[in-house]
Amino acid sequence: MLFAMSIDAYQILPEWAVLLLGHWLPWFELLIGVFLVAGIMLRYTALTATGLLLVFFALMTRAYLKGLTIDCGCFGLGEVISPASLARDGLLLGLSITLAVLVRRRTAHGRVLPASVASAT
Amino acid sequence: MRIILTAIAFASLAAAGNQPLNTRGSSSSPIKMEVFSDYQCPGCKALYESTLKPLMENYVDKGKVYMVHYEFPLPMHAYAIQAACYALAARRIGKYDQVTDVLFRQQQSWATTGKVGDTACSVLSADEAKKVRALAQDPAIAAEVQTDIQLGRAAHVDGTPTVIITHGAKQYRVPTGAGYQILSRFLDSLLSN
Repeated sequence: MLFAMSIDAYQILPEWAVLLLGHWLPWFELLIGVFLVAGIMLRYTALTATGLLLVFFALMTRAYLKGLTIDCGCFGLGEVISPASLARDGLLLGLSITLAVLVRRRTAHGRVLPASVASAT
Repeated sequence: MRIILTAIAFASLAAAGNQPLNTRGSSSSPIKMEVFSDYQCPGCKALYESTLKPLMENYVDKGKVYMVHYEFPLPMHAYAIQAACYALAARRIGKYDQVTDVLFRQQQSWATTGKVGDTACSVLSADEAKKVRALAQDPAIAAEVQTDIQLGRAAHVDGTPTVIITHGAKQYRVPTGAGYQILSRFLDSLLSN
């Protein structure tokens, strides 16, 4: 419920969506993290992570520009959105984009495609 | 660890005689909500107007939540200490709610002009205003503000508004900016436990 309150602070979603995201988003993020570390479906996982970080970064920037004094909701509670948190999340987004591009290049060269998929194509 | 340190800080300050003075509701309520706030902070204005006001009506006044308010004027706000002194002075004559209300409502105005006293006294009678102006200069009131700041620092409060909810042995820091609807759901879930 505390995470749902962090989402609510952004003032963009209706209550039902806030509660839904508050419940499921941390688990989804955990799953993405595990897949990234384990290298499972890396191309899609990296794209999904990039998409998520892009949304987070856009919402944080919007809140900051609107002058909202709200919790970032990034790494636990108590961190208000600031230039420092925006810089950190921007860096994470940059890293994620780099990963997504690298993975795409590698798969495009056929080096990390699973053998079954490679033979089928 | 942070929660334990906060609890120890509050317990030790209470034991030293620094009992919270600015309270609302029954101390036997199942939930305690501590609010560290600064009259010049826009986030505190938003919290007060959209969350605390309905919360006081639906939870505090109904005996579900015990609210403790601490003055936590931030150094970056030039008139915040003065505003806190006026609010505490008004509490002495039973006009805390009215003065708090007008200070937040006209925050933008007095934060620019510095006319804190005029704003605070605009909701008081001439006689009350005279008393409050005198009390606001009282060193005892300034000491109360400093005590609240000290309590906040001991509780690792580093910004405003900070809201700490205690239910039983558990403490929760409410994310800054959380709206009333979700907060009330959280309080209801605590109350149903």
